[in-house]
Amino acid sequence: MKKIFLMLALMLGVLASCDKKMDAVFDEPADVRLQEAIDHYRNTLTSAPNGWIFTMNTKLGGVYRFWLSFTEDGRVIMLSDANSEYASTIKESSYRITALQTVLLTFDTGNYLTQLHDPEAAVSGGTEGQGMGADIDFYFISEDNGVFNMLGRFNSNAATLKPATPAEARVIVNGAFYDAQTLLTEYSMSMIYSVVSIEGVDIHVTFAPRQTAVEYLDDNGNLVNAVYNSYVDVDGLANGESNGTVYISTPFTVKGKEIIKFEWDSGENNYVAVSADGSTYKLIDNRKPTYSITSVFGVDKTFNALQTVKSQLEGSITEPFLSRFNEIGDLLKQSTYKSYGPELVYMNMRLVLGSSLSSIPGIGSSWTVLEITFRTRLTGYYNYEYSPKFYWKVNIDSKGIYTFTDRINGTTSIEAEVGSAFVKMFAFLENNYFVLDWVSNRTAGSTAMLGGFYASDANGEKSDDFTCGILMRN
Amino acid sequence: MKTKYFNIFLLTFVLAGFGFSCTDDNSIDDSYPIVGLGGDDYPKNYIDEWLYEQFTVPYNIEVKYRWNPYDYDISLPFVPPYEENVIPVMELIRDVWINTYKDLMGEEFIRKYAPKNYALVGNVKITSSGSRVTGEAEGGNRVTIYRVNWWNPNDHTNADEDKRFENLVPLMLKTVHHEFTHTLNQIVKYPEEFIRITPEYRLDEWATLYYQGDDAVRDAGFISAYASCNPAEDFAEIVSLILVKGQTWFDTRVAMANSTVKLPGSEYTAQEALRLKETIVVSYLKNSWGIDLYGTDEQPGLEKLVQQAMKNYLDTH
Repeated sequence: MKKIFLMLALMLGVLASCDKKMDAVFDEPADVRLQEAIDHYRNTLTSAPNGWIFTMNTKLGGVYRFWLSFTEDGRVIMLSDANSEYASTIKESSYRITALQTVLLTFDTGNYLTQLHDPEAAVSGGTEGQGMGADIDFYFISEDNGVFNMLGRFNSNAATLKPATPAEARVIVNGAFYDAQTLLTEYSMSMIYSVVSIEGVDIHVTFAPRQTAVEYLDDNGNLVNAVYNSYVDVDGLANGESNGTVYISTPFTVKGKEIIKFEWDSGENNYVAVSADGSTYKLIDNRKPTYSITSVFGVDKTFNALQTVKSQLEGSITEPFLSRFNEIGDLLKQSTYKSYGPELVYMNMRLVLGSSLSSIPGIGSSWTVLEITFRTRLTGYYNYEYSPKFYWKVNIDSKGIYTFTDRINGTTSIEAEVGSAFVKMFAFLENNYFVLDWVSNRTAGSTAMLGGFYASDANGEKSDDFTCGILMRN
Repeated sequence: MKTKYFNIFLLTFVLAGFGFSCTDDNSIDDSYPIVGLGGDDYPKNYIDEWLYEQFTVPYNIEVKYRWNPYDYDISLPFVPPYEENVIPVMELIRDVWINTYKDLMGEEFIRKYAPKNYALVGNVKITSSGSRVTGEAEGGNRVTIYRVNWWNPNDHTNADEDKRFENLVPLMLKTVHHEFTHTLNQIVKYPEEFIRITPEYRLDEWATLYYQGDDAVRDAGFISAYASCNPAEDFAEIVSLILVKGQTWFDTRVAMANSTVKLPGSEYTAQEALRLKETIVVSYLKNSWGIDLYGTDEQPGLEKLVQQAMKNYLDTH
């Protein structure tokens, strides 16, 4: 009986195997659907009356933008935001929409876009062998309200192809790609320390034409530095003569708020950060960071030195420190090497551990040490440079008040020969209490973070007499 | 007995099942064309027509300049050439490679032996090891010419000397003649004795030698750093450098080579090795192909034809 059931099962199996009817998932074969897709993309691309705006991420160079106009005979004309010439001079090449596993838009002869993919660093930047890390052919991934989302074939860069509006096309052919970048650069130069406060977190924002840098203290008090691909749109120029929206290609999130763009607020004459849920946050020029300098400055912190270069601190370095600093230069000119035209290049104040200065006799290994370097150039002697160094034991009390004691000269003969030039600076340091704080950056064109040791009273009350320097990384 | 009939019935049933299963129409539905089969169609332009007239009609050579990602090493970045550079570069190849061989050997020689595919790429190929490739020959069939986008007849002061037009023209020509030498070698191999002259080839070290300068390789019996890579490149370097830089240049290089110290693993000094390689190259071209490299005052050889054609090209561009 069991055998008969087995045999019947086998018979049923054989009968079933004869049924070769297939239930296709799609109505049409793959080649028909592929050809339909190619035709759809080609017709869409060639029928856009104002051309397209192509926005492409690169691995190393941020975001690049192109205006493209396709014709049915396989030609494409373009402008690019790569530089002022490419933004104003039309380049023509060929293109193809082809089937390569899926549908691919490829720029098959050289143009502004393909140039970015050149592996020679000398051509468009980036690294030798990889270049900018761009792409020259792109898969159509999805279509969203007339915008094509695309993916680079070689470097997998995300890109979008969006129909240009008449206003966008009009300003782009008049050079708006470059003009929008110029406006953004001018804005960035005018802002010394842009800060936007998002849900209580103060974020320092620095715009560049293709990337946006942000810096803030996280919940653990660590300084976060990040750079995101971004681009400045021509919408400001298309709608009037104002700055364009800055779009972040890979939005960043702070306190649950995903920041997707920065819009220009004509009333405030400044940018406003916009999150994905529509919240807005105004940027202000704070001129200095909003968090405490002590959280980032010290022997084991992100920054440990203040460098005073007079030419880079015009307007920020003030009296009476300025006169004291200038006097060092004047005294050097009368020193041992006066016939060689000595000049002070910079003064560098660095906090280091005594254990790292074991070659200097007298420095305790457990000390925190202030090391000051007076970099000097002999302009009349092949611009030879030398660096007298001096050291102090640093004492920091519970209120954060600094005193500098136990001065030790460096171990070369230079310190003794030119040391007299620095005596007034020594006296200032050794006869005062100090507190560490930010210095407002008032130097035109500079976005550097400035800090200084402010002379104070015994309670840490600051005076207007402070050293001033650019924060240098540890 | 019952079991026997049952088994016969079953066998018949199964065989019938197989029989029916074979009767279905399994022919491939060819009513839908396969997309892209046979290559993409594209509208022909003046460049396509010029290439067709100059290379395809007379010599059955196809010149590809449109980008197709799977024509090249898929692990490296490449860019297509600028359209405006295609004809000037191919004019150079026509005038100083094809026409010189044609003048010496007749049109039939080029028809028969020239690689049937020429591919143009915009950038110089930079391999994963960082070496820079300017041309490649594959199986006697395809030659790829890189760095077409360097072409700029107005560039005489480029900081990168290789990109200055008067330097770039002979460099690119050298690539063309170098690759054609490979093609000839792939049809008739060079004599075995060539390999034994300087047996210590450096394989991948050549890129390091490149940066040590010419003297280091010359005194090792090689005409260029790349020649020290392997015998095939050595042979192609000697032919192409003699053609593009001239016999006088070659003689000067040989005279500068060490003439006193025998090379490791060899019975020759560097000077003797270079001269012997030249002799083998000359006899190979003559005996295997009937090509007279140097010729005579009355009957110029290939070297003089190339030199004159290159001068004419530079004078007119």
